[in-house]
Amino acid sequence: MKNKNRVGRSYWSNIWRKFKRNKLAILGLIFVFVLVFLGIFAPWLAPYPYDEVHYEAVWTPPCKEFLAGTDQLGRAIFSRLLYSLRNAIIVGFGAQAFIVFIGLAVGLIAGFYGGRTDNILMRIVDIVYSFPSYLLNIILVLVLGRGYFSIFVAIAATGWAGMARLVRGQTLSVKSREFVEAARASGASNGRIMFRYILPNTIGPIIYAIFSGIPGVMLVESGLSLIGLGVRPPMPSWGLMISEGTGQFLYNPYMLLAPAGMLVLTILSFNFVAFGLRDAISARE
Amino acid sequence: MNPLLSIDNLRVYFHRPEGILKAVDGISYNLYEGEVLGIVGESGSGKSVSVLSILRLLPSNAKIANSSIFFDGKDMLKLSKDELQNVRGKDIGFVFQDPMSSLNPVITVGQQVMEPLLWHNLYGKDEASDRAKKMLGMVGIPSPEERMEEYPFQFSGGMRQRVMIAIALICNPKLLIADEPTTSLDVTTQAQIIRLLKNMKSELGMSVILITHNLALTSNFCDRLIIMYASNMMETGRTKDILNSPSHPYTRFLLDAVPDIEADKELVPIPGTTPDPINPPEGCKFHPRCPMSTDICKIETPPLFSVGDEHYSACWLYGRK
Repeated sequence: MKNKNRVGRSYWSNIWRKFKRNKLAILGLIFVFVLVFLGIFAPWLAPYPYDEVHYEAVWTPPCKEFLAGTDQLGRAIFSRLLYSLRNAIIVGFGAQAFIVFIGLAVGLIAGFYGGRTDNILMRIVDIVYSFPSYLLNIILVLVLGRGYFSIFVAIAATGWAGMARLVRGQTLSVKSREFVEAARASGASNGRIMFRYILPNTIGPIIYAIFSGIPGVMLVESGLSLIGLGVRPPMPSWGLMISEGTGQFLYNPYMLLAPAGMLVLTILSFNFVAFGLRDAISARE
Repeated sequence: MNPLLSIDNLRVYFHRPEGILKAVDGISYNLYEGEVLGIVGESGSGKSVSVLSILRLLPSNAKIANSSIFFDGKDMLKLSKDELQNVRGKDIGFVFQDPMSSLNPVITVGQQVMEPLLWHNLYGKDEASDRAKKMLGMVGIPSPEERMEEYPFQFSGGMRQRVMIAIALICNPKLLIADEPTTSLDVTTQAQIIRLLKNMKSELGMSVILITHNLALTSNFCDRLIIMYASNMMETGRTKDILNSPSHPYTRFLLDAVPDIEADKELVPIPGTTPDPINPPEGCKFHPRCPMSTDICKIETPPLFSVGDEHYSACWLYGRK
């Protein structure tokens, strides 16, 4: 095709061009890829199973054999970190998927139909929003039992309200744009208008919210496992490892520093990607 | 011959917190197959609302009261949502005023042109794409095959309006409604777009309603004109009759306000301002600005009086109570 350089300069390639200029965001993105890779392949990459005890090597500081040392049961902290990462990524993406699903549905319907539908849905959002979310998380996990699914549900039950508000606001602003009326005048149904005209034009800020929400979800999970309500031991989690490490900080500081460092690294890299996205999206016009 | 579109006593009221705004207050007209009707009026005279109500594209606080709109034998005010969706885009094409914001920025132009065909199940994907390409060529987009892959922001204003016209005509509608299609374009492009509409009309043979506030644009395109002022019809008739012998004082003012380079005449602004739409004046809406107004103009709204062959004027000058 003759105009190859003009073709394909779509919405996304524009955002990508701006995103690329942000060094920190690119660094974050590389880290995110590496972390996700490590998380997915943790069972193959971990030198020892996460629950294998080495009584002969309790509280070994980092060395050649145990890259990040061992804990009070002689379990390899490096393996446990990889599995924690895997859990954090499963919970981060899983719960965020629930949040996005509920938030998109509620926000899109409320914003698009307006009127009484909007009023009712948004009052529900207000109620959920005003609830002390950590408390509700704890109660829900206690009621539903521990496990991935109940953690997803517990986190999503409190987290979707913000997403719904964002999507509703975006929907309202796009709905009043002229191309929506033009689509209606050419015979587009409500569903087509919502999914082909409104949603793609609101997606930028939503993508940013999804990315910036993932570290938040990971933190909530860490918070839950810190008090023993996260994933079920012996499956490790950063929160649990941090809580174990705190007691050992003066004697075996690596037990605290390793999981805390990983947590910070993960959250920072997701946040950098999110900030880069935000800047690239808002600088679009 | 039965008219393609028949509007009788159309009234559109907007319910606002500060009162009822009568955007259109009793207009009637017929449009026959292959005819081009121009609706001319100032901003806020209700011309857009009057055509949006044909497709029921009005905001939810607008009520259409005691009116009838028949299009192609269908009572448009009684159609269900699905039936209405079938008419929109398929039997009636609509071109909006601002081409810069009327296209979806995240979908390629080709997709947007072919989509109405898919929505109305007229063609499969490949044929629709072929037709879209042909249509883009017809409306004067150079190398349509390549430009179909591009996004709206890669098109200029005039080109986008051509795309809008292609979208409106892709399903071969019986009626094309163009709501101020040239207002947001520069003057040279305006003439091109009107010429394009004219060509498309002679090629496809649909009826056209052209809304404009520019009388000059109507002269060599429209068969008939409706002059609107403050939600009412002031004058209607054949274009040449209205332009050559305007009967309503408002029409005369409008013609005086059209600049003409050759004639050495002075541009005369119409004295006063348009009335408050929520509390319009009693009687003839134009009487506060009309130099010929008499006592009856202040009390009673004039009906349409015949002033010639198919030429009507809502002015008490031409009739007596």
